[in-house]
Order: sequence, then C-alpha cells, then structure tokens
Amino acid sequence: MNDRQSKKRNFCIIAHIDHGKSTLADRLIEKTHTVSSRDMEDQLLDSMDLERERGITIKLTPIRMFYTKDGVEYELNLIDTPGHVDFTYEVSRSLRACDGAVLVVDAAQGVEAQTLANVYLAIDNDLEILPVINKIDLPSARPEEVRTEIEEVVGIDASDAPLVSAKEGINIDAVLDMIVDKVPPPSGDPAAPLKCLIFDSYYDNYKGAVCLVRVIDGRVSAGTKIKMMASGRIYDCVEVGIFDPKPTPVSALEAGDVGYIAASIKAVAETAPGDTVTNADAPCAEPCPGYKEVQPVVYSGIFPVDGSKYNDLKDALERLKLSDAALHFEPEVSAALGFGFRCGFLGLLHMEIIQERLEREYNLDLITTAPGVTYKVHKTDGKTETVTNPCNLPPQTEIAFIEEPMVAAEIYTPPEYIGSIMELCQDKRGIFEDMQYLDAKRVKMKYRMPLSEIVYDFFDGLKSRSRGYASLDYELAGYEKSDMVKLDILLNGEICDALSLIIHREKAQARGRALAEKLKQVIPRQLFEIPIQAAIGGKIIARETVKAMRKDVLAKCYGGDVTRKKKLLEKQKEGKKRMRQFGSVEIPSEAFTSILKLDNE
Amino acid sequence: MKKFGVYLHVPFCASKCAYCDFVSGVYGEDVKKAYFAALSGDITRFAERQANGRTVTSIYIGGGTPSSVDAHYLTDVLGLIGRSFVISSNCEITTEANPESLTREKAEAYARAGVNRISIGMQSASDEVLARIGRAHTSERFVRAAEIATAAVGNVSADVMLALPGQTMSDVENAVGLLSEAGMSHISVYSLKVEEGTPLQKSGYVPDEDAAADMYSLARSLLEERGYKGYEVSNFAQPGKECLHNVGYWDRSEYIGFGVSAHSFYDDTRFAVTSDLTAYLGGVRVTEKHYIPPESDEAAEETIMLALRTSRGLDLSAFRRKFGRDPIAGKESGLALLRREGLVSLTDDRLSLTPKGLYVMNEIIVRLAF
Repeated sequence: MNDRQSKKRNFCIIAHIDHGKSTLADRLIEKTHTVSSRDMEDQLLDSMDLERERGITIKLTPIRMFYTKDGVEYELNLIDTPGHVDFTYEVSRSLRACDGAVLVVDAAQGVEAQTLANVYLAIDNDLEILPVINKIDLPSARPEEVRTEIEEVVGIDASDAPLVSAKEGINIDAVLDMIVDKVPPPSGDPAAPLKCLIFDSYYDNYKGAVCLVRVIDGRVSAGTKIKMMASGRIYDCVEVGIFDPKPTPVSALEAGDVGYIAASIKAVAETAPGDTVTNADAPCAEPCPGYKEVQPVVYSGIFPVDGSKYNDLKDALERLKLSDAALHFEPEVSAALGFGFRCGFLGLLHMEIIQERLEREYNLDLITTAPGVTYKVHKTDGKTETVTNPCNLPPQTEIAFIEEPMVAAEIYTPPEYIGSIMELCQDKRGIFEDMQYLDAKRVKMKYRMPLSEIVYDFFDGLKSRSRGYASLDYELAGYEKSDMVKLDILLNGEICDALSLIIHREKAQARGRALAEKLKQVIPRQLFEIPIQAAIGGKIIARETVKAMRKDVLAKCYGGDVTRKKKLLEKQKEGKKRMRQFGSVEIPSEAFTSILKLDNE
Repeated sequence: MKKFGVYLHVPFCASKCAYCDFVSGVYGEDVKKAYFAALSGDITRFAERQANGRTVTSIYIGGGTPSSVDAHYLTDVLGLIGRSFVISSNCEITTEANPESLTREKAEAYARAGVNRISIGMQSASDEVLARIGRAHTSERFVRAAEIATAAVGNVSADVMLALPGQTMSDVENAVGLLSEAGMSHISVYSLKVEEGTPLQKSGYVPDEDAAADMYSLARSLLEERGYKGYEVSNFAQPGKECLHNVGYWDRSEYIGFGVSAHSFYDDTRFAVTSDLTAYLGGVRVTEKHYIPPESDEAAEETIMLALRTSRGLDLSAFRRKFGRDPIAGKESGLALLRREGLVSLTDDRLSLTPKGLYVMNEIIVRLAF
C-alpha cells in the first residue's frame, strides 16, 4: 500500500428509511467544507425529485470529502446506496466499492428490518461496520438501550458507537474520526493490470453513459483503451474524474480511487453494474466476482390513455432506458388498449418509479395493466415456454403444467401483528417456514411465497394489518409447479385482453367475481346494456350487467342559451377521449387501474 | 321578409327556489326601476341601429319571475317594443308567471298590452314536494292562477318538473291530470338538474336516473293519451299550440335577448349579456360574442344538436343542401347500432330520436354530431 492509499477511506452509510442517512451525509459534507453552505441544498445526495419526495435514494452518487485528523489530511469517499429491496443487487454492487459502512440507527426506534438486510449484505462483503446512534436530541431517545439492541440484534460491538444528532449537528466530528480510524484504507496495487468495479452508471447528455467505478488495481486515464469484461465491448476512455461533489475531471484514477469513467458509451445498458472495467491491451486475469445480469421480475403493460401518444411513450421509454438499464420493454398490442409496451421491472417500487417518471417528467397519461410475473409453461409436446403476458398463455389443452416463481420472504413485525400477518400470508398462499423473536419487540417471520402474490397488493395488505410497522424483504427462490389458470373478463361477450390474468385456480373464482363487481361499478352506464362476465378456461363463473343508460343530463334550453348546451356536449365529447373503445363498449381509463387493488376494499 | 324573436329577461323573484341557478334574485323597487330603464334603453338603441326592418314574430318574457314585479314594468316594455319594431299581426307574446304572484289585475294588464300566452311554473301538484324545493305556492293556488290566466289570454302553458326530492310516480300522474283538466294548451316537462352551488346541491340530493326516466316515460304516455303531442323533448302541446318562440331556438332562427344574462343569435352571431346584475346596471352589456359562419361545421353541429331535440328531427336533404355534406356519412355503423337499439329512427329522409332515445340525447348527439 502506498502513501496515497493509506490516506483514503471509501465508505457508505446504511440506515433505515428516515433514520437520518441523508441528514448525516449532509452534515459530513458541511463539516468537511466540501460544498459551500450557500450551495448546500438540503439532502444533497438525493438528486431526483422523486427521491426527495419519497425520502429514498434510487440513484447512487459518490462524494469526495477531505478531513484532517491529527495533522493528516484524509480523502473520504462517501458512496451512497439505494434504500430499497428492489435494488438489492445495486446495493450489493455499491457495497463492494467500499471498505466500511457507517450504520445509522435511530436512537428512538432502534434497529429496523430493512437496515438488517443491508447490514448483513455489508458483512457478507467484508465491510467494517461502524455503528452510529442518531437522533439523540429526540425526547424519546433511548441511546443506551439501542446500543445494546445493536449488539444483540446485529451482533457487532457498539460500545464506542458515537451518539449524534445529525439534525442538530451534534458530535459529527466523532463520526469523521471513526471513519478515519476504523475504515480500512483500500488495498490494491496501482502497478497491477487495471481492474475497476462498475457500481453504477448514469446518463449524461454530453458524455453519454458514465460509469461510476471503484478502482481495485491499476490505473486509468483519458486515452486508456478500456474493456467491459462481461460484454467484451471496448471503448476509448475520454475522461476520468471524481465527484467534488460535481463531476470533476482528473488526470488519472488509481487503485483505491472512487470516480467516474466516460468513454462515449451510448447507453447505460452497456455499463452494467457489477461488470469489471479493465485495460483492453493489458487485461487483468479475473473480473470482480459476483456479476450478474439483472433480469426483470415484475411485468406490466403500459399504454397511453390517449392512443395518439404512442410515439411519445416510446420516446420516453427509450430515453429512460438510457439511464436505467434495468428497465425492459417491448411493443405490445392490445385489442382494448391499442398500442403500448410490455415493460419489465426489478420490482414493484421500480415499476412505480418508472410509471411516475413517465407521467411527471414526460407528461404522459398512462394506463397500466395488472403487474404479473414470468411463468414457465410446460407444454404437452414437451416444449417449455416462458410467459410474462397472460394473453400469450397457450390454450389449456396444450399445457402439461405451469411453474411459477417463488420468493423467500422475511417479514419483520412487532409481535402483536403476528396473527393478522399470518392470516395475510396464508391467504397469499405463503408457506410458513420459521419465526424468530429478535427481541421482545421484534419478530422475524419467514415464508415461502409465490412472487405473483407479493406483486398483487401484498405491501398494502401488510402495512394495513400492522399499522405500518411490518416490513418485508424478499429474494427470488426458484420455481415451483402450481395450478395456475387464465382468468378472462368478457365485456359484451368479448374477451378484454387487457384484463386477463394468470392466477391460482383456488383464487380464480373469487377474483373473477370481485373483478366483475368492481367493473360494474367503474364502467358507466351506456346506451346499451353491457354484460360483464368472468371466465376460467372458457367457462363463465360470474356475471354482472351494466344497465343501459336511460337518462343523461337534459338541460332546459333556457332563454336560447345554446352555447351552454354546446359546451356541455363538448365536455362530454372530451370525456370520451379518456375512454377506451372496446367493441361497442366504452371503458374509462380508470377502470383498468381501479381493479389493480381489489383486496383491501 | 326577415323575422326574429325577442326575449326579455326579468331577473327578479319574490324568493329563490332551492334548485335555481338562473340569474335572478330578490331586490327592492329602486333596482327594478333602474333595471327596466336600462332594458328600455337597450331596446331603443337596438331598434334604431340593428333591427333593419325585420319583423318580430315572437316575444318571450322570462326570468326570474316576471309576474313578481309590478305589471306596469312589463306593459311599458311591451309598449316600447310595439313602437320600436315591426310586429307581425299573429305575433306570439308569452310571459312567464308564478302561481303565487299572478293576480287577475296583472293578467288583465298583460292581456291589454298584447300578451296572448302565459306560462306558469307549477313544477309539482304535490304541496309537500313544492315545499321541499322551496316553491312558495300550493297546487290550489296554481289552479286559481291557471283560471286567471285562461280567462285573460286563453292560451296557457305550465311547467312540470321530474325527479324532485320525494316525488313519486303518482305525483307525476296527478300533475298531468291536474294540468289537462285545467285546460292547459301546452305543457313542459323538465327533469331536475342539480346545479352546482344551489341549496339543493348542498343538501346532497342526487336524482335517481332510473326514477327520472320512469317518470318521463309515464308523463309522456299520459300526455299523449290526453292529446298533447311531444313536439320537442321537454315540450308537449295541443295541435297548433306549440310555442313559436322556442321553436325558433331549435330552427336556428334569429332572436335577440334584452336584459341581464340574455342570449341572442343574430346575424350569425351568438352573444350573451353579462350575468352580473350590478355590472349590467353599471353599463356592461355583451360579454360573450361568437360568430358562426353559416356553412361552417359548427353551424352544422348546432343544426343537428338542435333539430334532434324536436319530434320532426333533422331534415337530411335540407341539411345536405345547406352544408354540402351528408350528416350521417361515416357514422353508418354507429347509426345502425342506435337504430337497432330503438334509439333513433330514419324515415322519409329525416333522422329523429325515438322517445327512448330523446332521454339519452346528449350521448347520441355526441356520437352523431361532434
């Protein structure tokens, strides 16, 4: 290790949502004068509007700070991590770029489930864990109890965890001192062949896709011919730099450095997190371990409310894809919804984020179909098909059996909600595996569950049954044979493809009835009577009728006010634009979304 | 000879009904005086500059409650109109009246001033229902007003409202019976529309769609049994007693409206006077003005929209001549569906709505005309 490396510390902060990660980060930045206070925006790290609003981190941003301890100036690189289970893979990549993790625990609330998952991930990645007890200014703070809790629950020594208040700026120096003292300086050999871990990337309008990297070994500078080891693609490095906190070019990045590499890369899909960057002319022997291609887990159809906006939606998705490699999409045509896209997401939050960004940043009105998962359909002819769209499910007669994706779910909850959560899990076809009291106030329940059940309204159910206290963590756990059927909804005798579902046979009947009832409420009366039917494999199992409209507003044409009447009709006409014409039936766009959450009514 | 109708708005009431969002209110005598003076000024100015020798074929005094103000206000205005314009010999002159304010003296004064038709707002034959919607009269008072009006002008119309709170099918039956026995020549049947901001809307009352439709079809069949022909969605008349003034609205004939919130269609232009009485008294007049080229799509849309209100329906060949296109071209499949469901009929080159179709006309018009 050279002198340069010994004065460098790469670390991240792990915290439960709202335990004060961003605030602490802000204080560290302030304290090290990295950003003048004038430029200091609250929670500097969370740069997307959406992140700020939700208080969560989606994109990662590293920041370089300088801190002097005992007359020696150290370079501290804070690497941010996303805070949600959908992004576990990203978290694991960014953890690999660090050597230590500051664990922020709320002095009043103690250790939370979400934190634990990330702490274990950090421990798995050989990171030094540095506990910090935050929010000691709160009247309900119980720092000493929390200190014990950290030791018991997390199983690490918390005896010298600093007691701080990020909000009030109390004891921030202690955190910085601890980082210097306890986070190991980066190892690695600057003279060895280049080996960089990509832990994130972002899209820049001028520079293209930019890789955020931790240099493990070697040296990279503008002009280096670089190679992505997983994809084999080769680029000419145009610029390397660090985050100060704005991207700032430097002459070279060396072993131990955290920074960026720009190489005129077209899309972030080519800069996969976990991939290794090496020198094309003198490659390293082995890539960084643990790379995997991120596969979508949840699928849903996205259609513009106004059919003429298809191209706008396409452009928007293409542009989002430039900066979000995890987003998958392909064109889909629906008889009911027209032209749109079948989109694949990392999870539910990712799906929501994409939908919100499409609506907010690109001003699109969308119809989203029920989220679904990937089924493996084994056919009678011995072939296997992967089905993500219910409309592509082969006819029942051709299906030998279907396998569905499973997850290993961990639910953390205060004990008083165990009963109702068990009920929920049972209802969601979960198989109980284990339950463990973490302490008097926290229980960890383990279930094996079908992913499709988690995707359908599980979070909301969990939150409402535990008054918001329970949290969920899950990971994919293979496929299992399951008795799945296709549930169709027929409007006026025709199958409405956008409403079809793949569902477990035991639940199909009840869901079919609930769907038909709900649709009856949301489809307005029209000039003709509309039968709504639910069918499983062609057999009708429920029927409702939207009666024909008998009266629409019949205003007196008073005193010759024809204009008012015309305006009324124009408004009515305008309202039709939000309707989907399906055969002779008009379906309001809201109808498609209103059926996504049936269980909690 | 070109002809036109005249509308006069009287924005005064003795009290305000729970469902009403028309421009009207309770005011003192000084305001009324100022108002009619302003109105008369408007009439004079218009007659001097824009009447261009056109003949007035109908006059309609609406409100508000025209009968709530002293009769001389109305008779003076009618006198002024008679002096200012050419009036056709068979000009229909209607005034609206409420049962509680129409006295024999007033009715006779109206008749002397040329009024030959009175339209009385009965709304319901049930005193309970009347009280619930804030009407000040009883059905007994209505019968007396109807006698007074018949004695004075002969030709009397009355309004019935449907889907009122607490109204039953037998109320509707009673209302129609009472009106035909009272010898009304013309009956208007409106279903209540709960307007934004009215006391009725604030009370949370929402009329039931099916009940309203049932009442309408009951009223319709009872009226036709008694010899009243539904010549427009809301209007029923004995033969020859159709309201010419209203027919003019649906034919897109010209009319000029005087007074606050009055609407006009004149020289291919629709315009409206301010709805703000204070502003009107302060000299504000036309606030909305919109020229509609006679052969434009908008004129065509209006033609369809207005004609489909009537039992005669839309004369397709006249439409083709005027607008150079077929109004139903490109709508064949939609039209076939509407015909199959018995909502529209297409006979003798006329497109009209069936009784069932009339009650859902907005939806049909949106499909056919817009």
